[in-house]
Amino acid sequence: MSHDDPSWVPAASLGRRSFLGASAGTLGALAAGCDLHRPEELVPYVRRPPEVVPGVSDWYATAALRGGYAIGLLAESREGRPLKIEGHPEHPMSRGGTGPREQASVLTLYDRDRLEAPREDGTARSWAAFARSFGPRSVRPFVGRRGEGLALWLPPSSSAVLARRLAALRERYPRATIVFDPTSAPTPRWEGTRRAFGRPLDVQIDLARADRAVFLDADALVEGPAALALARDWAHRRTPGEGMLRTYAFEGAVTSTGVSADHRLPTPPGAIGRLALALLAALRDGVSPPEGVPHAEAVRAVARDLDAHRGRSAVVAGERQPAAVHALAALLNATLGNVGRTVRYRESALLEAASGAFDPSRLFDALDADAIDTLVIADANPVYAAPPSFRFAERAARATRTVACAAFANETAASADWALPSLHPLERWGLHHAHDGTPTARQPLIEPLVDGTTPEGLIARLLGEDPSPREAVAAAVAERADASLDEVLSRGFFAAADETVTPRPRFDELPSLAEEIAAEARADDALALDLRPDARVGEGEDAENAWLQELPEASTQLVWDNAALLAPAEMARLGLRDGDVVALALAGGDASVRLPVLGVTGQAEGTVVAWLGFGRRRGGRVARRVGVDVTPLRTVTGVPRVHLEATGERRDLARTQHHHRLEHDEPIYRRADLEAWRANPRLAPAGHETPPPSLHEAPDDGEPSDAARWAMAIDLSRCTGCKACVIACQAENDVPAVGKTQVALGREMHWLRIDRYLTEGDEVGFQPMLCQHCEHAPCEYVCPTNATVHSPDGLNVMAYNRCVGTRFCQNNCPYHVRRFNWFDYQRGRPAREQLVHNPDVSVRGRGVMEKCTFCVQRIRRAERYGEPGGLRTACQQACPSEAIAFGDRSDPSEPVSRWQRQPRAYSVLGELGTRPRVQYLARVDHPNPGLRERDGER
Amino acid sequence: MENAEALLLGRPSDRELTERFVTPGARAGGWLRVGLWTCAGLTGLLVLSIAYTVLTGIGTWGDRIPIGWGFAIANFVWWIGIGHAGTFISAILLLLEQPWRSSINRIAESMTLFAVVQAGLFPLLHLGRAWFFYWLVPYPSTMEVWPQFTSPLTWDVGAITTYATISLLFWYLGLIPDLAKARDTKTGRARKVFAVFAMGWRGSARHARHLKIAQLMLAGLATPLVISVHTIVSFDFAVGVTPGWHSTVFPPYFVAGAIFSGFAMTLTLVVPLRRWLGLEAVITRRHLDLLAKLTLATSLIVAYAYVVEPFLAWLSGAHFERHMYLEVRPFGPYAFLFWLTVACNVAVPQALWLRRVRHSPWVLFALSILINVGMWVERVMLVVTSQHRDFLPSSWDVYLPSWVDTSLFLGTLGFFGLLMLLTVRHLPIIPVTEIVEMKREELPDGPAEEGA
Repeated sequence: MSHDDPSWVPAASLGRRSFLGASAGTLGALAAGCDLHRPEELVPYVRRPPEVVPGVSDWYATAALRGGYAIGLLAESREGRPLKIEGHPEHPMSRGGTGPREQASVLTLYDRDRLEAPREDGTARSWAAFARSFGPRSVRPFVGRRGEGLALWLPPSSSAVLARRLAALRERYPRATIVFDPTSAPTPRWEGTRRAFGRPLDVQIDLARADRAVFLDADALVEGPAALALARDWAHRRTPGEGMLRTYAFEGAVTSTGVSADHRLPTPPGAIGRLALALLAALRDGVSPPEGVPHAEAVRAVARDLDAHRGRSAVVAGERQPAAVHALAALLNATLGNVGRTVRYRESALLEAASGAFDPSRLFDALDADAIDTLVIADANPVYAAPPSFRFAERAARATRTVACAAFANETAASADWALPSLHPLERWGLHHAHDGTPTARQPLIEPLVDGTTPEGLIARLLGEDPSPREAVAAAVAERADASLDEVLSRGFFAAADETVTPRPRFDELPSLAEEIAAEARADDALALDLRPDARVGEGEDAENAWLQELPEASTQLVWDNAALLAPAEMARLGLRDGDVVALALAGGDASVRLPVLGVTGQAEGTVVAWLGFGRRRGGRVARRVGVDVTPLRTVTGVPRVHLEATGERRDLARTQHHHRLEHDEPIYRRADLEAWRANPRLAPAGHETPPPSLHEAPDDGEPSDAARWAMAIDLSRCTGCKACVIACQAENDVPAVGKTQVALGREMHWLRIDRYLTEGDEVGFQPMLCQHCEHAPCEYVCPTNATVHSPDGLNVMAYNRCVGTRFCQNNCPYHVRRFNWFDYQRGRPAREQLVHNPDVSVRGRGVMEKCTFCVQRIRRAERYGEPGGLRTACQQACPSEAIAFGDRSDPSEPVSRWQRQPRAYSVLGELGTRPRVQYLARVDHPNPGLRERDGER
Repeated sequence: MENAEALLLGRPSDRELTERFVTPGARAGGWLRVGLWTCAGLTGLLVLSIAYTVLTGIGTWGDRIPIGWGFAIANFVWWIGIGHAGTFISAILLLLEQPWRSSINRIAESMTLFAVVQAGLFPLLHLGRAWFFYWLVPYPSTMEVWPQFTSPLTWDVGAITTYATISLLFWYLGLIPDLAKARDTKTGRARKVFAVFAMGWRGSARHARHLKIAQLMLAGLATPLVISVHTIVSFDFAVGVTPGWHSTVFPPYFVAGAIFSGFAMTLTLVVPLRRWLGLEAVITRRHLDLLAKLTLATSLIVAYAYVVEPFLAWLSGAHFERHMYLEVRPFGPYAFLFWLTVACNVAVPQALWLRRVRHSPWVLFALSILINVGMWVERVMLVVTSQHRDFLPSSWDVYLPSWVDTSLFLGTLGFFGLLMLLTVRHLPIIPVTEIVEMKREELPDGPAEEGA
């Protein structure tokens, strides 16, 4: 792949030594209380700042953003360079968990293709030159006209600093047009709550208190700013026994939330509204049910179940469902008495939520009238991502000058007159708000590697103010918190006052909602198109991240591509096979895209699912030419309808897994219903009732009795398949991304993968698979050079230097978790990109085998220095749903020992006598006994 | 009308035999030149492929997870198997005092030696870091690390190096008297070169006696090797846990298959050489007939193994075994390899029951080619199918060789041919001394002559 290209060395590359020097200088300056201007002299490391101990990590609280909302993070810094992202254990919207995109963000920081300095028409310029053209004293039209002709296009933001800057901007330039990107904001939810309650609100779901939850096309456990907290609460209610949560998912695509639900009912996205209305009709007198409700029987059963759990249930509508569905979900929650209990509403933490700032039409009118002379687009890529109805590129070209602030030379930056480097989140200061309103501080982990800015800084420059971000954060903190800036920064966030509101539902809106819903039920032969931001690359923002591009997609295990997903029955009817290219044409429009199809068992018929964020034309070398751009099919609201036509072409797709059925009927993935578990807690299938007899009687033969016995347990009940662990492992262990062609050859390097199986009734199950650290490891006895051996504390370890690469260990590993360095994957990386490597982990050269080490570097670090937060592997630490327990099995009080003692714990392929140290807890579901056709429904 | 039962046609004198057959390749026609250049070209391809692999990485091959071993290991097993017929002919038939082995043993021994050379390339090349191959050899290392002796790969090193050594010694010892004959019939520089390698052989009774004793001793050493080498090669698979490999039937099955493929390759070489070099007088239809019978016998053993393997899998009741033998191999994505194997190695050799087939050299040649193909396909099938679908369906994949894999295989065929043809061209490919000896022992009423 292009990112392997060794020939490219950035012109202004920062060598390791000069970088370390610069970092030291920065930290020294920090310690002395200065702000983060570039140091004028370097401080040698002999007089290192007190907090930097070579070889010992520091942790700083900071934040990531999801749709503008903050997620509290802890970032690991080693000798001044950020290495690893973890969730902030105390932050209410992280609680220690992270998603794959947060985990992968360190890779983008060091990317070689980042914009390095301001560019005017592609020529590198200085900030001084920019200030001469755009500063407040420059003779430019908008200055004299109180901002008329100045327009800003910003991403949705909860930034307190941005709020202050915007206020200042409005004061200076009251006629400036400020627009927040409406497509990446929860505008349907705001509109829905406005109709249900009279004002736009954010919705907070509390699964810790709910006993029943209904997800209406909502991938709530994975997607969105509150997903990490939701997944945590959901997981805690998945322990088999009393008090289990029961979730229903109605959805077209096969999402992680649906797969994790107790009932998943495939429903085309356009039918969700009717379904919600039918639920409301069953629960509330005087509401007439609509025609053509899918799963009518099931809907009645769900309604009965909800009825029995009033005040202890929750109905969640998906981000891309139209406002009417959000309104119905709100009214359902009001009917069920959930409001204020399991569902809470609050004013959005996003700035100017649901105000005119989210309506771009005024800006577009002004552009069409040639009334804009300066268009500033910061941290957004509307030229690529905006719906075609915006005609954004065409309109932006009518502005006299455009300024784009972007991390890479993306489509917007390439077409702008000025392209300004945007700082990476780990280089930024900020004070943002989490989805629940928690003010969350963001502090930089590193002196900016590029000469860049932020939206806040850019506005300051336009105003001719000091762009120094730290002062601005200090001021914003001082406004809101009693604590000092240092206290806030060290903790990362501070508690906000409870701003939840108890709105009054407006049931009088129902008739108009019902009308809208009825209008959606069109009887044409077109397919409903479910266009989703990709769970890995978003709407293209993270397309430059090779780790994310190579992360297998949850429903297809597809990498480095997007596809049109169809139900297998639909594909059979259309005579299509996986990889056939089809043309998708918008019904009633002329937009059409060609992309390959893939069948996904469980997807609703009549639905096409496609992911946004691919087919990037400009940007870094990784982002370009990956997949197909489907934004031409994007509409502003509603569910687009498309016609599908085969083209006769084919496209090679790289997937990490080709077989999803357990074709040999081995109980590799075990799951059962709660009742079956009660009857038989071991859940062992016939022939597996007792552990296999062993000739080796000693439980851990050969190991000293005082040594630790490292072991892991993975609760399949809790795994949502979000794959945060996969990226966490990759970041922790210097696992390279190898590119599409190599993955197509079966050479992906992930030490930890999420296997996806179709079990009985075509239900999907996710099974994290990693080195099982077998006590009787088949890999060890076949290695001719002693390169893979057992450690005294029960780890199966690799001595890379001793490996000659026979690959016999890989062949003999029944789990096939060993990974081989087919090429020198790290060769030719520029110095800056090498900075992402964990210095505690060897970078493997060509020709050696590698595999999961149970994060041996963390184990040894904990043994040597102790681990304040408790010893955790990278995968375990990242997991939002706490599905992984790790520890010393010789201590019976450790969670891992308790989990492994549970009757539902089992070893995968245990009958081979490998005695794995990793055990799985069988998945136990909590289905509704009233929903008899359960298997048929899925 | 030639006598179908004769091991030597006509009544050639010792001098005639020597003059006609000591270096028959020296008179060979244009076909030899064409063959040499073709093989040299393929050898060049081999060198390029090796260089590319070593400089770039094993990623240039089609190997992947979970098929960590692909063409390379299949080629290795195939080539080493081919060698076995040579050792069988030179060692076991020598001990069994079979006179017919004499005329073809040089061809068979050369084949063995050169096949081992090809075979030895692959275990070296398939290492991720080939330059550290010596870590598999037990030597007193300053790192104070020994190889890991429970791994069959370390046994392989011993088996293959022993086998190569014995094969070389056997080949060379038998060659000495004929090199002396060549020395005596040549002039100029060739005479000097032959003189050096003939090591002063004068044909004295003492020399002959020592040679006989040495050959018998080596035969005694080599005989167990016929069994042990391929047994150990089979351990590379049988010792693993992979269904389709993990089987106690593998050692005898592999040995039978090896000898089977070796006889087929002997036929492939002997039939055209006999015709093109005009060797019909010393390599008679009787030789071909006997080779064909041995091929048939070993084919039946192989066929038996083909039946026993799935039967044992069925009998074991083990899920994965049954799945591999009863579903994946006969009906999976590589089913065509399985059925091709059965067709070439079981069905085709049944034609050898017919005397007419056994006595038609070019029909035998065609059959031998099919068997060679069948045995190679069997090795590929064994190596690939077992790995491509074993335990966890999530890791199942298919294997396709890359152009480098194919080039390496073709390259070894070329290199093998090059070594063979150079031997044919320059060395005594017919063991005249042994034929003379046989003539005197088996055909005592022939005209007595001095010399020899």
